[in-house]
Amino acid sequence: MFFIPGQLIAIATFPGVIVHEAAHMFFCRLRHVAVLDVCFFRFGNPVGYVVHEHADRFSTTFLICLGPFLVNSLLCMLICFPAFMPLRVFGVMHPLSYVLLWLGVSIGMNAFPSIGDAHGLWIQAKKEASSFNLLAIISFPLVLVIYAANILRFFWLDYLYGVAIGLGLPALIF
Amino acid sequence: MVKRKCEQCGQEFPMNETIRVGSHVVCDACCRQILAGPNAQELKLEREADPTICVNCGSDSGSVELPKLAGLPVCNPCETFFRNRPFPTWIKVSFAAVIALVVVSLVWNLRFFQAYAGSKAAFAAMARGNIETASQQMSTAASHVPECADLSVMATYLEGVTLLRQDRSAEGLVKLTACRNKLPPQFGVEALIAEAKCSAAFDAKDYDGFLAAAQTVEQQLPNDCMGKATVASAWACKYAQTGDTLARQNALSCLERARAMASATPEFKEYENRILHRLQSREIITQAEFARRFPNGWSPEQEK
Repeated sequence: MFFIPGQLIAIATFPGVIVHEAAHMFFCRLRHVAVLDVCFFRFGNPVGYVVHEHADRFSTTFLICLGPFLVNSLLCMLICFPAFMPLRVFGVMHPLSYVLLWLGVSIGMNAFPSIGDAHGLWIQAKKEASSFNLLAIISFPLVLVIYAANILRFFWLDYLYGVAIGLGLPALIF
Repeated sequence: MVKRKCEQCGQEFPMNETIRVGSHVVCDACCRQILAGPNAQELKLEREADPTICVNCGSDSGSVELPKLAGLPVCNPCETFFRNRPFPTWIKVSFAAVIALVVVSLVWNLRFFQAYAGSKAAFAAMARGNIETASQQMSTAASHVPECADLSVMATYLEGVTLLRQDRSAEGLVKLTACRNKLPPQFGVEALIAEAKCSAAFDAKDYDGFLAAAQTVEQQLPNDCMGKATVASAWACKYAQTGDTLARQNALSCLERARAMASATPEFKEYENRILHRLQSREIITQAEFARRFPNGWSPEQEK
């Protein structure tokens, strides 16, 4: 285990950051939530952000918060899939395969919602849970998982997730 | 536009140019003076937002207050913009490029998918015992990915087995020898090579070679009745060729041992009858010829 600053990881996996923020914005647009400001990538902390208005419906907040997880995971699988077959099954190496794997795993690595996303979801879930909103109740363990995942990023969980989604799943299929 | 009077200097300013410092509204210049004074860090500053001026485009609605978005006054066109904020062109182009890359790589790597499907189908055909189909499919799969050595070895192996089944043992032997030490033991390459050597020697009427190869098969498959039957077959050939009774005795002895191990499979029964026919008639005929002459089977009693 070795430590690499998060900023460097973000730079190395910048396509994932862009996709993550674009997915946030996509779901905002989908639910007609006003996007006040957006930064897809920058050399700073946070490396990307979407500032949007507060959503009235909890389902909208849920979607905006967790949407990037789905989008990044799906794109990771889609991009790694064509590279997997020649590389892992036949052992044939081609630069295009490595480009796709880097791109796919980068996107998969940035699938997890951030602490900020989890915090927003937690606050609204607390309000909604009092009115027995099922989605809000389900959100509590999810928020805990997001917090845990963000802590475990220190131990490369995000990288492991990207590899598992991009290479592990096709390995189970083929 | 709403105007506010600076509580410090008494001048009027547009509301957007004033700042609330604690409970007082002041202009920018006065605010700087306050901040330069003592206890500045404890002061709470908040820029005033004119409810009649859009925070985004700055359009002035006169005295009409604008609707608020996230607590800030925004005109209708700007609200529509924020709610349907377009993705930047570079994002759209990048996304299209990624999708194009995935499509191109899928097309580029199509041969690998075809090879994978072909090899899967070949293994399925092999499991069903349909070796010829398996061989064809594996050869096609190997032709898709010529750089994959494992696939071409597998294709060569199946071609060898197919040739062996087609009684083209000499050609099969060449193919199988090429697979030597390249496949796991469960593929039985060595046993097949020995079998091919037996058949090739038989075809070449080299019965000493046939006997030597058959004894190798027997050593490799000590618990297989067909291994012992092959040795019996070789001794029967020697007898048929030379009339040596010791060879006949050896053939019958081997056949007896094979029979003791054999389960009554039709394959063994046919082989046993062929050997007995050879011993009785001293005529060496191929399996195909035997089947042609005796389509309803042959037994020693029938001959008598």
